[in-house]
Amino acid sequence: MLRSLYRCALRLHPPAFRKRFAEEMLSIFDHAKATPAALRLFLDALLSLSRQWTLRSEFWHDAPGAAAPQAVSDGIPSFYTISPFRPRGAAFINGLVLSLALFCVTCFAIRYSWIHVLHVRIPEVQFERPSWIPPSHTTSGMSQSVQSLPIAPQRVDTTQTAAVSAPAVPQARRSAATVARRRPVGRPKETNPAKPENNPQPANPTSTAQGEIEQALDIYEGSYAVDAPVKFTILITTDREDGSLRMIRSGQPGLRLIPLSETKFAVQGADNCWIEFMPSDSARDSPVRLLQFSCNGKRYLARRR
Amino acid sequence: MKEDLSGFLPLSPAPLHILLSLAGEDLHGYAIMQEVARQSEGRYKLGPGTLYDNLQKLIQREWVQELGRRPGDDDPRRRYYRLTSLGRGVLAAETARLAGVVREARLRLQIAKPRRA
Repeated sequence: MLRSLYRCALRLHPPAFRKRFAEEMLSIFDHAKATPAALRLFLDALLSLSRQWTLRSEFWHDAPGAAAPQAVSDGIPSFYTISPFRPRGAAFINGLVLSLALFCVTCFAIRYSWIHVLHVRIPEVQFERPSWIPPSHTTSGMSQSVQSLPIAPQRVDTTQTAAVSAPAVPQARRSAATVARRRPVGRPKETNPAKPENNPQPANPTSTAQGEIEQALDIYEGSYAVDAPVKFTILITTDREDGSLRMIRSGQPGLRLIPLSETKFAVQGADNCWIEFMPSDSARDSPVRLLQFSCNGKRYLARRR
Repeated sequence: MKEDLSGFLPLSPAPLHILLSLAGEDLHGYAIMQEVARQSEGRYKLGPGTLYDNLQKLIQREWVQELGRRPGDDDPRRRYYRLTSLGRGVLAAETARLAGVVREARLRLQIAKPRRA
């Protein structure tokens, strides 16, 4: 019993002292046969315990000279930790799990938050078909759709085989053209009914593409009125020169709309502002009736007049 | 070049007795306690806490060297300690200082001794 208490008292000593002398002190305790002698040694251990923790702070840890690395004389740098403390393995696992959870939550928040503070634009790599390959030889549907995109003539570079898309105007044209292809308005094809469907070299592709763009953007043009909470009017027009949409808010200059998707457009020059058109499900080619204008966290629903 | 050891003096009783007990041979902790009790004829007894607290300081000052365990010992937990040359010098300086104190005390005591008429 007294020996167990003595061992407990030794374990409570500072680590350096305990490692160095605890076994010897226990050995001396084992020499004590009589209870009074053992009791006196136990009191001595308690006294030593208080002395070591109060008066011997310089011996609480191992001597620094023993653990310090040797100086390197040949110029090779040496690295060592200031403290020998190392966290437990379980602490590493907990930190890993928490870090992954935090990372997932952050990614989820960035993806689904309606406050789009960050518009991260990842440049896409686009491979253009060489001019000597006819479009009928392309086997991939995706590449065919990419090749057949009408691009404004001043931006076409036929010598470039791979190009990172420029962000603003060409992207707007391509996206608008994609809308045109996905939603054929009909008028261009009606005007040229004899033209084959998969004609690789149209007679005048530039004018045809321009016409498709304008036709596709027609469904967005118009005047939209916001009733609540503030009354104002949004006018959506098409710029005939570059084939992009423009937004004119009452009393303000026009701003170009940069397409983010088929129905979503960012307002150029205004941070955190975009417009989302809401096409009716019944008639996809009919003009859009509703749009949602979001700016700096505020949302306005506008109806076509 | 002789090192000036006067800065370490005077020694308190525990270090003095420990150094004195190690002056003859290498001893382990329990033997040091026994030797101190023998030298003082049982009047001064070191407990393990006091002994190892002082040994810790003496080792740090390099007056005592820890030798480790000896294979043939009956208790493998024992570690032996040896007096270093620096510790021997300190012990010699303290002994000389104490000798001067004793000499001075004897001189004073003879002067103060009352003369018989």
